[in-house]
Amino acid sequence: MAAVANGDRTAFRSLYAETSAKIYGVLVGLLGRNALAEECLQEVYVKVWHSAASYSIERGTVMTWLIAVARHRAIDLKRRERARGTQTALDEAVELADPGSEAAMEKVALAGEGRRLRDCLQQLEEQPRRCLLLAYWRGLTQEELARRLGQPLGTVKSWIRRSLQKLKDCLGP
Amino acid sequence: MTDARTLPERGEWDGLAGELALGSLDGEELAAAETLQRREPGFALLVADWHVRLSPLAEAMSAIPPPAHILERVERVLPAVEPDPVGRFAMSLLNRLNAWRWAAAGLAAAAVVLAMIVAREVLLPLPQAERFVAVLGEGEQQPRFLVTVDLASRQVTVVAVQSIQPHDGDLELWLVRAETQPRSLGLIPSAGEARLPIGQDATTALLTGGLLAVSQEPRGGSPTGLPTGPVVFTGPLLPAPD
Repeated sequence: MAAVANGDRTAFRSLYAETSAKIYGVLVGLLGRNALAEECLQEVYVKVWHSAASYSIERGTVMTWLIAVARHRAIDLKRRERARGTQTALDEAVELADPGSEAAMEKVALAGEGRRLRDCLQQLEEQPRRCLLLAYWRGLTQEELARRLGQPLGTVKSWIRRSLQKLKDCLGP
Repeated sequence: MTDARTLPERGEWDGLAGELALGSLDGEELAAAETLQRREPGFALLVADWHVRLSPLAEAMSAIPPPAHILERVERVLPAVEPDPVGRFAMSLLNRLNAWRWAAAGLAAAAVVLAMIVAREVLLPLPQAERFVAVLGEGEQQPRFLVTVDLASRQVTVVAVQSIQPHDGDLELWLVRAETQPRSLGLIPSAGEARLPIGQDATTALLTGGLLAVSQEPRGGSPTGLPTGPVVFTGPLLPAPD
């Protein structure tokens, strides 16, 4: 990572090789497999180049950082697209994994801290859990969630707020 | 523009930080959360904690190899040579942060990095920055204070990332520039968070390239108006985009 920070192109390429498929997967989930996701991936790695010195030396933390940057940027782009009314039909573009499915939950458990998160998520009721996962995986806003699940906005909001609180209590410090 | 007075209460912060990290907010709630994130280091830390907490969810998303031309496109827009001086200045700060060994310091420290980066493009300083951030530490040691100077609201926010060993006296925060005498920004607590007002004469020009320092002073602060005790923590001021 230090090498990337010092402007080493080879190190940058190997970082890209190691991480880009994961990050692109996250972006495709949020934006669909399209030019927007590609543009977003490009932006994320340009940013990585400029800020490589802030990486932690631990890979897990680098991924967390990359994911946070990528999600932040993707969600921002999504909102802008939505405002322009040019949002792509995401539902058709992406095969939605059922957020409640066992297979998806098992994958969550693969990450370092994932087992605990998975266990805590499974303690939530089904609908609130779907809300959290659709928001995280597909970038749906509370309003879109309410529409999709056929629930009043207030209900969805309180599901999310309460579920996050429960998750935090369950995960502990 | 969301006004500071209408921003959510502190009791709401953690829930709102979780929703911001989750990405579910929209409309005014989103605007309020983003304003808080820019203005309140304490809130930005909560958001970063949530990013860390939720990150295993990304493991469940399938990895998809991106089209080959993207790496080429990325490399085409990267600077051909060294980054510009401002970038290098930012890097030197961040290199120091790196040396603090986030991994060993655990979540809180990782959260500081995330807070700084996720909060926005910290590394692309605006020429007319109205906000500055500084991470104050002791040599290569861990960060102790996260300081934000907001010229719009004329406020300095100081968050003790870790509580400081108390000494018999007060801690005083200084703005240090090579060409002028240190200027006191006020006394700061050794734990928790504090807000200090900053005068109208503090400008972007005054803060750009400046350094913040914390000295140990007698109770009530320096009797002379200049640091008298040992300087225990320092850190460069870095322009933060809004």
